[in-house]
Parts: sequence; C-alpha cells; structure tokens
Amino acid sequence: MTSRRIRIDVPALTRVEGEGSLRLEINDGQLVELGLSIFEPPRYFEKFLEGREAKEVVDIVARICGICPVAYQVSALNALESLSRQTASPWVQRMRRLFYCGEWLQSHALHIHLLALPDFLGFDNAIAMAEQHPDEVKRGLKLQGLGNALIRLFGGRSVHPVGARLGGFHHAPALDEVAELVDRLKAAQQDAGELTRFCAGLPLPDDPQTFICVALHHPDSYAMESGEIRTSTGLSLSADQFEQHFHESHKPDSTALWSDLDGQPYLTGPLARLNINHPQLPDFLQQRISEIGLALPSSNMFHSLIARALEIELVLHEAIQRLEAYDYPEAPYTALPLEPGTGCGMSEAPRGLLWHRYQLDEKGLIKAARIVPPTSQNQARIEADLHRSLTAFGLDHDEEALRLRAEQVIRNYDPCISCATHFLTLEKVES
Amino acid sequence: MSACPPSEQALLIIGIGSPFGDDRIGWEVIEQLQRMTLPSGVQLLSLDRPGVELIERMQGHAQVILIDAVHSEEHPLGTCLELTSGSLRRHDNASTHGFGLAETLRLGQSLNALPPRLQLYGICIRPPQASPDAMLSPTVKAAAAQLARQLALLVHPSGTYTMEPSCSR
Repeated sequence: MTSRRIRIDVPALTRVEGEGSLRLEINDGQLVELGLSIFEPPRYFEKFLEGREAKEVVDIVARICGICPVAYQVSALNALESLSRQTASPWVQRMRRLFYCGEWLQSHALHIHLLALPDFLGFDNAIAMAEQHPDEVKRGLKLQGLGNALIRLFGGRSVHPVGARLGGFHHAPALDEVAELVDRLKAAQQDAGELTRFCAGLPLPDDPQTFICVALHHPDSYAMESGEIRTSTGLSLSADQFEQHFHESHKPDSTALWSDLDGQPYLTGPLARLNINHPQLPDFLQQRISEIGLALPSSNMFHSLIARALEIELVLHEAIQRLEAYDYPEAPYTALPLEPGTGCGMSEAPRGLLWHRYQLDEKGLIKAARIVPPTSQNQARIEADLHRSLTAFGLDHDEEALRLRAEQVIRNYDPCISCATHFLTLEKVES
Repeated sequence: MSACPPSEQALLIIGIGSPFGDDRIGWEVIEQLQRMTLPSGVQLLSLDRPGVELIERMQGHAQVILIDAVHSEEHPLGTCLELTSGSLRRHDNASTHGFGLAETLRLGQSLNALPPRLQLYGICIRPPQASPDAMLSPTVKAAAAQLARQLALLVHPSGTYTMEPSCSR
C-alpha cells in the first residue's frame, strides 16, 4: 500500500499578510485528511478600536486591508451611522457607491489578471505570463489603475484612503477632475467587454458543486455598498440579525475564525452575488450573459472568474453614469450626531460580505467592536471545495498536479495579492 | 500625497513607503525635497505600497527616480544604495508592500512598460516591527536627508545644497 503525506504551505491567504497551510494526506488513493490552517494575526484591530472616538473608526479600519479599505470604511460607516436619527444625504449615498465601484474595479482587475490568469494560461506567475500575453496584462493594469483613480477621487489616495468620514466625505471632487475620469472610464468599456468574453473562453474546470450562497440584496440595484442579507436557502436578514445565524469558531490549528451559517459552510463573494442578484444587472449585461452562454445560478465555483469580469463591466457602467450626472454639493457631508447603543452595518467587499458591529458608550467612545471579514467566512467553504475538487480531479495525480489544482481552488476565492508570485511550496513526505 | 499628471518632459521622483517606522523612508525623502527649491520640471510623489499600479504611475515620464526602503544583511542601517532591478532580487524589500517593488519592476520589464530612464535608490532599514505610525529612527532619518540633498543636486547642479554624495552602487 502506498501512503504519502503532502504538506503545502500557503503564505498570505487572509487580509494582507496572513499565513496559512494546507495539509493533505492520501492513503491508498483516499483523501484521509485535509486541513486548511490559517495563521492570521489575531484581530487586534477590534481591540485597537476600543476607547476611540466614533469619528476615528473610519480611518483606523481602512488600515486593516490594503486591497479593500473602502469596504472596511463603508461597512463601519453603515454600522455607526445606524446610531444616528438622521441619514447621510442622497448625494453622499450616491457617491459612496461610486467610491465603492473603484474598489471592485481595481481589486477584480488585479485578481483576474495577476492571480488567476497565470493558472489558466499555464504560467507560474504574472511576470512570466506578461512576456507572452502583454496585452492581457496591460489591460489588467489599465483597469486596475482606473479603479484606483476612482478611489483617489474621493479618498485622496488609493491605498488606505482618507477622504471618507461620518456623514459623507471630507471633500467633494471638482467638476474638471470628474470629467477627465469619465473620458478614461468610457475608453475602457470595450476592454471590459472583451475581458468577459476572454474569461468565458478560458478552459475553466467544469465541476459542479452544491453550496449555499450568501450576499447582500438591495431592492433598487445590484447590492454593493448597502442592502440586506439574502441566502440561497431563502433567508432574508438585516445587519442586526447577522449574529443570530452566522457563528464564528476557533479551530485548533488556526488563528483565524471560521464562520458558519446555522452550522453549514457557505460562499460569499462575486459568484454568490451573481447567483442571487443577476436579475438586477442592466440589459447589456443580461445580453452578455446570454452571449457567453452562462447559466445562472451557477454551481461551478470557477465561474467566480466570470462573475468578477461581469462585475467589472457593471461598475464601469455605473461609475460613468454617476459621474456624468455628478453635481457639486453644497456640503460633502452631513453632521450626524450618534446616540449611545449598538450599531451593525455591512457591505459587499470585492471578496464578499463584510459585517461590522460597534458599541458606543455615553461619551461617544467605542466600547466594543466586532468585524467579520469575507475571508474567514469563506474558509469552511474553501476546505469543502478542496475536498470535493481534489477528489474529482483524481488523487492519483502527482504532487505537482495536486498542488496546482489546490492553488487554483484557493485562488478562486481571491486570496491576497501578496501571494501572487510565491504561493504554495510543497513538501512531500513518504511514509 | 499628490497626483501628478503624466508629462514627457518631467522628471518624476517617487518615494515608496508604508506608515511602519523606517519603512516610511521614501516619503521622508520626498518631504525633504518638497522643502527645497527644485526646477519646475521636477515632480514629486509619495506612494503607499502602490504594488503594480506603480507601472501606470510611471507611464509617460521620460525619467523616474524611485526611493524605497530595502533590507540587506550586508549593509549597515541607513546605508544608501543605488540599485538596479537585478540587484533588487538580492535586496528584496523588507517592507509590507504587497506586490513587491522587485516583482513590479520585473513585470514592467516584461511588458516593456518602464520609463526610458529609471533610477532606484534604496536606504537600508531593519525589517519593520514597530507599530504603525512609529517614528523614523535617527540614523535612517539622517540618511533620508542626505539622499534628498544628493537628489536635489542631481536635478539642480547649480543649487546650494550642502552635502557630500552618499549613495554607493
């Protein structure tokens, strides 16, 4: 009987610089152990926030992730502003969605072009791929640059932006800055359409799986910066009800928390959003979905790549529309007095649902904070996916092939960019 | 942090950093340069871990100078090095940048998308362990001031910046 133990170390799966490992043990052609372990620094941020003034939160949480700071800011603002009797102005609400469009655009463009494409085009990394596919990589950098420009328009800078505040923004973009960006976004729409067709034409593995989808849903638009939770099991939940159904627990070999929905693993992220909210996509994207022959809802996890491409087309379209209708406001924010209490809020980060809860005391200071990021929510699903995908792929493959398939499966959930060029290292132990 | 429109004529100097102690060295050099009187064609920019966006940010500039923190076992703290993209592999960044500078420049090279003239200066720091917003160490701060004066002289040789060139290749 042949027994082999394969150890795979995965650096930087969570937030920006977390580390993780994947343990596989195959005995006599059977997968007897599969463990995804995340060595993520404990969430000191939740402790950092205690004792801080509510107005400081938006800048502190922007530091949690270098890839999705806008998501952290908007979820925090949604939670804190729920403690006010007033609401942010309609202008602020429109501009927050625009700000968020920039984050989806930059994050998805980077993921597709630098993380995922090398897997499907047969390269170790984006640098090697760039020599033979320069146009694809340049397209990715262009789209990513536009997303960052959109974030800078409101945030002042694209990494850890500083423009957002309680009740709105510190400043409103000037009309000429807006006009200049509209022209550049329009020039990229054709690229985005080609990107979706290109992704749909890739040799994506076809391995249908059963999983629960969780995403925000908004009655007026494809949910991004606000909405209520919808699940493919039929639940509809407000932010306040999140903790009644979603639970986090520690696993012995992981410093990150694992989430479940009433005891079950679930998916959050672009494919979950597309599966739940695709009827709300504009007509040109409904036509695109027909054109590429994508049947929705999809049970193929690898369609996450196509979901990201479709969402790039969506946010480009929306950003252009909103910027063309841009009006310079009398004030870029509304002063929102907050009352003591507990406020919950959420939004759809590029990688999925991001939920925050803050307890505010009588002095206006944060007494307690809880943040549930998409990466920890997807961990149980990733492990279930690995189990299913590797078994379907064939455990008799050599370690290199198994490692590559495991990497593809993990990358599909959009791990941090820092692992793009040095992802898994494999250590084989024969026993 | 300021946005600079692309210009074929302009020299762009970019300081790369993060708020983690000495890893902010690139920003410090830019701040020092901002206090000096430089020719109008010189643009200054501080970027917080730009990753691959650096390639887009350099587009359209005939000459770009990059300043970043590097970690090297071979050189003392505060040593200023003029680097090539090849030597970057040895001096790979110790900062918290996601897609590191070495990888980004290699990607730019593969795409033939780097500026015609690109210079890179690295100042040696210890791997950042300090909390965010920690102060620069005195040695590294002094090295930043020296590099700023050296760059000012480079772009404006008739300027009155007092210093001895400090960067070794």
